[in-house]
Amino acid sequence: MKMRWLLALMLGVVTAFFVSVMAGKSFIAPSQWFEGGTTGLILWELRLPRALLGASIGAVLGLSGAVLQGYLRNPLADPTVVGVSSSAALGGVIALFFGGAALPLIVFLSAMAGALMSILLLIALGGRAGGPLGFILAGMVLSTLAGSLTAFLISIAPNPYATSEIVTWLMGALTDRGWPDVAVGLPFMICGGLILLTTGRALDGLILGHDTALSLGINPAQLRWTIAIGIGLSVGASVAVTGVVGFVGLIVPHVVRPWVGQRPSATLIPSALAGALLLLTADSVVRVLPGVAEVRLGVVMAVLGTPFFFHLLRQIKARAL
Amino acid sequence: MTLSADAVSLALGGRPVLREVSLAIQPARVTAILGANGAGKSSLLRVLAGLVTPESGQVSLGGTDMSTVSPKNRAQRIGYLAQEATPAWNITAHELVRLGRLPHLPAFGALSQADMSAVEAALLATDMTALADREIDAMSGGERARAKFARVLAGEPDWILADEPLANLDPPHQRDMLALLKASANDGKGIVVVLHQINAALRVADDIILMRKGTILANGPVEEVLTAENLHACFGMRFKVISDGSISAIVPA
Repeated sequence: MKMRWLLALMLGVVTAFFVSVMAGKSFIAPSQWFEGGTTGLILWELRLPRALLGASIGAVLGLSGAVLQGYLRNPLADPTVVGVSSSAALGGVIALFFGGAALPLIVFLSAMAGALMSILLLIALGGRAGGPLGFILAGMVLSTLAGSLTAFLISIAPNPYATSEIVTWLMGALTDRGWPDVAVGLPFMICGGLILLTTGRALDGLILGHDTALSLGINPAQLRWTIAIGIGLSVGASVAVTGVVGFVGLIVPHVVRPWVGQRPSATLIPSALAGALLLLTADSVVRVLPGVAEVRLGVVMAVLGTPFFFHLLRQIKARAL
Repeated sequence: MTLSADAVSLALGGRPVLREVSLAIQPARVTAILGANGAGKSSLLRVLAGLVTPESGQVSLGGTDMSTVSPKNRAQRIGYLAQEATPAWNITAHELVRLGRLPHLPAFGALSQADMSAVEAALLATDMTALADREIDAMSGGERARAKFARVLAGEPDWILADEPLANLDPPHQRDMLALLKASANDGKGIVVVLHQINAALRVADDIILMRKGTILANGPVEEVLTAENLHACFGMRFKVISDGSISAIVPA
């Protein structure tokens, strides 16, 4: 039963991947894939890395959402809540502020440094208080701080061009991402994702609360570290490559729960797959939409996500509140 | 193999909740901890379960210092039934009971045949087999209490430490829960249970620990401990102990 959903999701991701490779302002049919020339160039140098990034970013966002909702025992948690996304964004913005727009690697490294800082602060601030509450409060402090510093930098940007660079980057997009982005981002996302996948059992142990988890032999401090590092690496890298793409981590676990059940460990892999599916689909839609400029992926996700979120909120209200 | 505390002291937020508590609890018996609110009953249970480390003194499990027992090993030997643990997610009874096997599982991989038969045995013992696929949100209070107890049983611990397992249960379900505790003791497990109702303790317990202000007022077999004098000293009110050879009921005087 659950295996069937997993297979269906995998099939969906593979299909969405191929659609994503073909879709765009110019449609590239499978017969043209190995023709070479401009079409081949578009396919191999632009579409393929973009689809790879879309799939992996969607996967880590969905996975981190599922892990965080399990850890915080709260169905409304997602990676933006713990401040990693906004701290990575701040790192990227700092690089752009100082004219790093022409050097994508610098922007990437700066964003990863932001994510790393947020992990250390998250553990230092949240560690004393222990439990999920300390974690979430530390995350809120971080994301508020990073958000206001980002706003500050935008407001004092040296010229309108820099402002536009920063704002555009912040909105999150897979436009013009290529193999160099895959090369720097993918290893971090894979590492972080694998680390997050190890948390399943401990998250299950937390279902009955902190004391029961302790009595089952789970080490809360180790779990907190594992989650912070896993999310820092994977979500940090995703933000560093594309900017902030919201809502995926929040929505996806809710979508898979009716099918695979609510046990946290059972939602991890399905959430990763569904996240990949969602982002690949959204990115394909973004590209085939008519218009001169491409709509930003982050904006599309927010527009799609908000009504969906309200729908979910109405459904879960009875239990969560 | 006993579970014992030696001069254990604990403070919570600067307030002492246990003061130099020493005791030894025997296996294959039900030991009930009684006392007024704030007497330190739950704190004593958590210290004995190894969930908190005492500030001074030592807890020993079968003669071994608890602080040297690995969390995994401790979890395999001591099952802890927390007070009012509302599950965060709406899982089925079977999924809930499987959580009890966590201390026995390797880092990766599915549940073994032995794990599954422990789960089935726990469901059977609590009369939950027919409800195995029912979700927690769809259960009655009594069913939920049984499922949670089955979760503890599934871990096949030597000790079961239960914090007010009768809370929010009606009299028939209280009776069922007490029967489960008693049956586990008959299986050879050591049962330590924090109770609020003296008569419930009277029905289920072999030994009683009476607590007052973080200290042990009396400790021993039911008949010796539950005297009118001890109960007065413990709760600050008069009780009448009705006895016909053995104690049959205790009522406020």
